Amino acid sequence: MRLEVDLLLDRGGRTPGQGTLEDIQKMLGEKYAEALPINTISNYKQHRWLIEKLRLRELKEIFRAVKEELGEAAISETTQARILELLDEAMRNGAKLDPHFLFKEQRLWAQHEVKLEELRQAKQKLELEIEKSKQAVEEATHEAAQKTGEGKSLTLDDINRIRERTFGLPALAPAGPAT
Amino acid sequence: MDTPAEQRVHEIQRGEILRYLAIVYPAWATPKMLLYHLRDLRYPATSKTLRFHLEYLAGKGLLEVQREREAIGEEQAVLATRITPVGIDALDNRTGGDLGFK
Repeated sequence: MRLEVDLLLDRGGRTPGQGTLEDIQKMLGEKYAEALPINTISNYKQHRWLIEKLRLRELKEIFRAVKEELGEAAISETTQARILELLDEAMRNGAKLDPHFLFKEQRLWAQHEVKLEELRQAKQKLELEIEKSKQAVEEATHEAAQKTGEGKSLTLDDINRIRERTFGLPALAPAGPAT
Repeated sequence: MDTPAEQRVHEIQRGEILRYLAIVYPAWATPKMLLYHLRDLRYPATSKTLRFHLEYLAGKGLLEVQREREAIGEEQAVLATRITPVGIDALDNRTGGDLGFK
């Protein structure tokens, strides 16, 4: 009989003349010749579908907002179902879902990602420059070593070339005679 | 063989599945969502039973299912399901006959 009551309550007025508690009581009285006290049907049972319905509508609304935000991006039906499942699970776990808050956070996250990428590129650029400078120093010192190895002495021009090419420093002027 | 009481529970479960899908329509729902829903309504079902219900209702054209890609020697799992317009009509009692759910 309980099952029958559950069923009638679940129909929740879907079928005319079967929805209200009085209707249920009357029907059960006729079928089982037993009067079911209305107050034995818990509030939870009376309202469980209503709560669930409201929750699902809210879930559907959030999902719609998520889909809108995703735009016309082609997401498969299975992926859509997974997104809905995640939202459903979050709601069941008591999360207060505000899609706009979610999107704001996502945008912030995306901005941080862009900034991080920019920094990464700047770092790479610096590393390249350091590498280039190292090579220039290597070349200049090698050239100087070669020259001194051949028994020649380094001239002011050689020093200036190393300064300019390697470090970008201005050329030195020849020093005047010592007094 | 199911007892009449078990059969009744199965019919209720199928009805609940359809009602849930009708509310979230046109979105697709996953089997996990349906299992949670049935549990919340105090009509818990096993994955096997749910699969049976989904196949049964899909066979009647009341819902459509997205299946996993076919692999040799493996059953194709249901990934997502959605009620069809025929299913909504049946739920709203616009079609006659016993459709096997309550």
